[in-house]
Amino acid sequence: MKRLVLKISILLFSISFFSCSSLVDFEDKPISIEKKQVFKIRFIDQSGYMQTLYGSDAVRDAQVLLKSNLLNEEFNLRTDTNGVVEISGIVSDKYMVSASRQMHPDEMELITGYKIYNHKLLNTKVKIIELRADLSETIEIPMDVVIGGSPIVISEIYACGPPGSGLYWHDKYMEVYNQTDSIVYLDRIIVAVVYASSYLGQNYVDDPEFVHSKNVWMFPGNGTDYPLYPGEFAVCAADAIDHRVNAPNSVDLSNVKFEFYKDDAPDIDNPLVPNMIKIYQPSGNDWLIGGEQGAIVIAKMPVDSLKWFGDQLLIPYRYVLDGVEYLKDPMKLENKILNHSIDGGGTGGIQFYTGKSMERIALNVEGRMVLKDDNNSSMDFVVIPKPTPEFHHSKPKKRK
Amino acid sequence: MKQTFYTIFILLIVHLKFSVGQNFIYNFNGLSFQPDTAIKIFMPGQNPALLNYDEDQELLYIQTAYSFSDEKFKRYFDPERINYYQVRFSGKKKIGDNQIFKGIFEFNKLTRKNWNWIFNKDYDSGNPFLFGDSSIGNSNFNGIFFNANYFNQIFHNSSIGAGLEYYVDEGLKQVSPKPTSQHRDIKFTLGLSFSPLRSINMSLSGIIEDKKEEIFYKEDESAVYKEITLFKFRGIDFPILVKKKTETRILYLNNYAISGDITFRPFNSFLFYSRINKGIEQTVSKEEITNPTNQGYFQNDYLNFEMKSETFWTERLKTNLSFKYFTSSGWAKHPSFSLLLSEQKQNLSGITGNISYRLNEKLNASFGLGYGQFNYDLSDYYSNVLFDTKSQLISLQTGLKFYFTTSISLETNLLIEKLSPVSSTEFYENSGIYFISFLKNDLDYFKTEFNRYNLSFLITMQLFSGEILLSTNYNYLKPINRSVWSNVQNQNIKTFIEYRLKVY
Repeated sequence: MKRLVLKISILLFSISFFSCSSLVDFEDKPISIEKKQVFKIRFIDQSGYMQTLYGSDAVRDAQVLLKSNLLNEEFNLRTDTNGVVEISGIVSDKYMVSASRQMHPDEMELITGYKIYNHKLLNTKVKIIELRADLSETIEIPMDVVIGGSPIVISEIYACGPPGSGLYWHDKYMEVYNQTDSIVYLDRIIVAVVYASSYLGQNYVDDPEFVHSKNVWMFPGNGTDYPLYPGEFAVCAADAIDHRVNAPNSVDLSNVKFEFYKDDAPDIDNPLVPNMIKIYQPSGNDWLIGGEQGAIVIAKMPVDSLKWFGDQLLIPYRYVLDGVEYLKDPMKLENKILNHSIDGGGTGGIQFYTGKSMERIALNVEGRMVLKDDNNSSMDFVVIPKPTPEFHHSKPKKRK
Repeated sequence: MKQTFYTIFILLIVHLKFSVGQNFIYNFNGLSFQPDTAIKIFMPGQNPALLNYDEDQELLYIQTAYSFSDEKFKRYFDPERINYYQVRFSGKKKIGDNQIFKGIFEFNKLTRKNWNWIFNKDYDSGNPFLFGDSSIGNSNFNGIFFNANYFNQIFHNSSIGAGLEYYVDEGLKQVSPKPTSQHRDIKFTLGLSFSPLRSINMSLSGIIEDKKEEIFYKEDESAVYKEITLFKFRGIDFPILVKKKTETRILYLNNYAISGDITFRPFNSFLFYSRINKGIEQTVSKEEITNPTNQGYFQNDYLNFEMKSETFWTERLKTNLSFKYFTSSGWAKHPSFSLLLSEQKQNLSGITGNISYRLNEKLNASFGLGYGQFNYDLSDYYSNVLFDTKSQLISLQTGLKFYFTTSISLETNLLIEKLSPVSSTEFYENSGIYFISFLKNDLDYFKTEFNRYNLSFLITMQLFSGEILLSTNYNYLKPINRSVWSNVQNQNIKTFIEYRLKVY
C-alpha cells in the first residue's frame, strides 16, 4: 500500500513539475529593443509627375505628419530627394500618416505645358502605418494626384450633451463649412449617420463601395436656395432652440441655419429655422447620433439613386463629400465603422455630459479660414471644451 | 521551557518585514537584514513534506491582528497610509503516527489611503503594465484566505506532502470613478522529503501558483458629469491616457517554482539548514472580457539561496549565522510586437549573525548584526530611463526576554538599520510630461539614505487553560540627506492578540 502511494506520489510530482513547459506558455525574451530603431518611410509617386520632373518616382519635398495613435505625439517631417523621411526614438505604434506635396504651377507647366494650380500629391491609399522597432524594412507609401478637395466639410460635431443638467441631450448638432472661395449651395446635400450594430454584429467598415445608414436626411432647397458663402458655417441642430433655458451649461441654437425635425414624432420644431428633410430614420423621436461614438457623412447625389440593403440605405463612396468618425476610445481604431478611404482615423474620446465638442483644426486663422482635411479625423480634428456653433474656437467671435 | 523559548522566537520571526521569499523587491522601505534568532525549516518554503518540522503546536490558534502605517517617504504609487485587519484561525493535528494536517482560515481587510492613480493590487510586483485612473483616494480589499497542508510519512525515512492555498477578495476604490476589482489566487505545493541518514534530511518541492486580477471601470452614476481619465502604463513614463469611463483589465499571473532544502544535524547542539528556490513568474495583462486584447507581458526569473546555522555552545549560549542571496531578473514585452520594453535586475546578498545568552532563569539576552548589499538596475527603454543603484544595509539588533513567572514573560527587541547608497547612475532623455513631476522623485527614493528603528514587545501569558500572546511592533523610518524627503518620516505599528488553546 505504502509503495503504491509512493509510486503515485512520484508520478504526480514528476508530471507537475518536470513538464511545466508543456503546461506553460513562456515567451522568449525579445531581441529588438523599443525606441532603438531608425524608421524609414519612402513616399512613391504613382502619377508619373515626379518621374517626369526628376527621373524618379520618389516624392521629394513632401510635408509629412506622423501622429502616434496611443500617445498622440505628432512629428512634422519633410522628405529628402529620395522621397524618404527618417525618424528614431519614437514608440512602436500605429501612426496616422498625412503626406502632402503641393505641385508648383511651374512644375505643372513642365509636366503638362500649362500652369495648373491646386494639384497636389496625397497619400490617399495608405493612411495608417505600423512602425515597430523589430522590423527594419523601409515602409513605402504611394501618393496620388488630388485636384482640390471637398468644397464642403463637416467642421464640428457636438454630441455628448451638457454638464450639470441630468440626462439632457437635446442640444447635439453637426456643422458644415465652405472651404472654397466661392458660394456653395447646400441644397439637397445628404447627411447620413453611419450604421453599425455591435449587438447584431453588423459593421460595414470594410464594405468596398457603400456607406450603410438607417438615418438619412437632406438639406432642403431646389438647387440654389441655401447658399453657403466662402468661409461660412452652417449648423444643423437636433433642436434649434436656446438650450440654455433647460440646461444652463448648454448652448443657444435658436439662430442656427437648419434643424432636424422629425415630423412623425413628438419633436421640437422651431418654425423660424428651416427643417432638414427626413429621407429615412425609422426609429427615435429626434435626429439620433451616438453620444460618445458614431460617424456622419455628407454626400452629394440624387436621392433617387439611394439603394436599399435590407432596412439600410446605401450611399456610394464616390458621392461622399466628407465623413467623420468619432470613437469612445480613439486609440482603438479596430472599432471603426466608417471606411478608411473616407476617414482613416477617428476623433472623440469624449464622455457623455461633459459639454465637449469635436472641431476641425484650422490651418490658418487670418483671412478665409481653411480647415484641415486629410481624410483622417485623428489628425484633422481636435476636442474643444465647449461647442462653437457657427464659429470656430480659434476665432471666438461669431461669424455671420 | 525550551519549547516556549523557541515558540516565542519563531513568533517574532513570523513578523519579519522582509523575507527573501519575495520575487521582486520594489519597496525599499521594507528592505531589512534582521538577524535570525532561530532556524525555521517549514516556514520559508512551506514544503508540506516538512510539516513534521513545523514549530506550531497541536493547538487551535485564534489571532486578531491590526497594522497601521503612515508613510511619506515612498514612491508615488505607494499609498500614504495602510490599515490592515486580520482574523485568523489556524490549527494543526496529527492523525495517527504518520499523518499531519494543518489548516488556516482567515478574514482580512486591507485599506490603502491616499493611493495615487493605480488600482492594481500587486502594483509593486515589477510588472510595468499598471492600470488606474487620475483619481487619488482610498481603496478597500476584503479577502478570505484558506490554506491546507497534508503530510504523510510513507516510510520511516521519507514523507510526502501536499498544500493548497486559496485566496479571494473584492476591492473598491471609494472615490469616483469607483473601480472595483476581484482577485483569486490559488497555490498548489507538492513536496517530497527524504532522510538518507538520521542526521540529514533532504527535500524537494514544487509550486504552481495561479493568480487572477480583474479590474472593472463601470459607469459611476453618482458622478455622471465627472470626466474620467484612465492611465495605462507600460513603463515608468509615457502613460497612455484614455478619456473613457468603462474599461476592464484582467491580469493573469502564473508562478512556477521548485525548491530544495537540506537540513543537517550531526549532533543535537548544531543545526545547518540550506534552501534554494528557483522560479519563473509570468504576468499577462489583457483588456476587455468579450474580446480580450493583449496589454503586455512581464516575466520575472528569480533565485533564492540561503544557508543558516544554529549552534548551542553551552546550555546558555547560542549563536545563529545566516547567509542570504537573492537575484531577480524581469523583462517586459510589448503587447503587440516582439519588442523589449524594459529590463530590471536585482541582486541582494547579506550575512547576519546573532548571539543569545541566558543570563539566569528569568532573563535572556540577544545581540545581532547584519550586513547586506543590494543592486537595482532598471533599463526602461520605453520611457528613455536608465537607472542603477547600489546600496548597503547595516543592521544591529538587541533583545531581552524576561520571565516574570513561569507563566508570564515579556520579550522586547530593538532593531536599528541604516541603508546607504553606495553608487548610482541615471540617464533620461526626451521625458514625457509626467516624468518631471514625480517620477524623478521615485528615482530619488531608490537612492536615498535612511535610518530605521524597530521596537517590538511580546507578552506571553498562560491563562484560561490556554496561552495568550500580545504583540506590538513599532517601526520608524527617517530618510536623511535628501532635500526631496526632508522633514518626512514613516511610521507603522503592527499588533496582534493571539489565543491558543487545546481543543482536540
